[in-house]
Amino acid sequence: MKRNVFGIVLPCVWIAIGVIPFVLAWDRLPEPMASHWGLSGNPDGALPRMSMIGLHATATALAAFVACLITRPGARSRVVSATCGIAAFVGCMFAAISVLVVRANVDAHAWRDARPMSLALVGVVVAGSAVVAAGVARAMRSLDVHAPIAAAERATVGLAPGERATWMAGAHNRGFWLAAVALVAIAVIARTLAPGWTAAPCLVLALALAAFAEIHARVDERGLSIAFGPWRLPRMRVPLAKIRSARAIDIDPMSSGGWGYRGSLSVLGRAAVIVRRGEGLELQLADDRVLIVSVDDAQTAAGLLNDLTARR
Amino acid sequence: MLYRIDPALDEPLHQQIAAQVRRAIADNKVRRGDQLPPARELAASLDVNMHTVLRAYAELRDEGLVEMRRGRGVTVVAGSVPRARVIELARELLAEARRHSVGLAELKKLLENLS
Repeated sequence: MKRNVFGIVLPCVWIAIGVIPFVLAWDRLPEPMASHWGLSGNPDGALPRMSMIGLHATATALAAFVACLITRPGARSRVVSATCGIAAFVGCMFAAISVLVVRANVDAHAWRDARPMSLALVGVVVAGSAVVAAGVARAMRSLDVHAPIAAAERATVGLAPGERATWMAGAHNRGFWLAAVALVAIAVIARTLAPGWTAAPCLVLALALAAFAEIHARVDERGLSIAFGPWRLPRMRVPLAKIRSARAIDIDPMSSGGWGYRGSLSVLGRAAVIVRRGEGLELQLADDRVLIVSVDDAQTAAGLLNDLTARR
Repeated sequence: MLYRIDPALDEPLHQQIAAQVRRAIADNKVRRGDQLPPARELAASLDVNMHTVLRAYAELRDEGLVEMRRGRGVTVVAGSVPRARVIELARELLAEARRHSVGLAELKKLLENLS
């Protein structure tokens, strides 16, 4: 739940607070509006209203994007919690400054008539944001990884020497399929009603949904392979040599930062392929990287991977 | 599902593969409409010849457990759960009879008398 709050709810609040004051007071703001105040507290710089709302929307959205991306499963490291804290700081500060700037500009005839900005108030905003950021960073560090399904001991399928084995399964999400079909229908309707490019984004999104509507996973002596969508492309491979251990876990997509491909193995060292709530496989890779994949029958997959790794 | 074969066993590899699928069907781990992996993929993963896998699939088809359709792969058919259980028991019975040198004719007679 905490990940849900830091990754989705809080960022949405930043964006809302960062943008809504401008929208509400739009007609009462001078054009251009005061955007900068000197140490004396008097306005000394201005920007068009559109640039100001754009700046605040971009800054809060960027912070929200980072927070959402970073609050992925297993996020516990110092770097991750610090990044989440910085995102929270930037998000909170821009949101609060939006309110201050709009309040100072509202009903002014020209930007030079804008109300002075009190240094103390800005200090309060910065300090408040820092407190929120520290809280978020602290909470992120105390977050637990997903609960394992079985006991703590290493899963096994009891593979005998000389025995060959492979495990094949996957995960499905019927909701994604329905959404993809609905999007294609919308694209067709849009195309007939208004010829042009309106259909293209719908189709791209439909393709992305279909790719995560079903995934096919395979474990064998070569390692783990994950194929996306009914066409089984693209295929993601994790060589056995890179796998340290595996276990079955219970995935809660909302607290993992959402569905789809979350995080990045190369950049963040952690990634998750989340198709649905429930059973999944957690791989501890070499270099302390972690990969999480939604699959049915994860306990068997983990057992086989562990047995194959031990044999190596 | 998990497919495991042991080349050290006397049982031919294709029968080992078929037995695994039959077991999974009987245990309801593979359900009606589920697709079995493409023969090429399974063969590559188990490091066996593709024809070994195809032979296993053909055996399952002959037993009425799966359907093989061009372009749609191999799918588990309806009502295969009880069927898989009966076939498993029948195979077990046959193997046990062979072990004790009970002939097929005698086994048939035995079953007729029982029913």
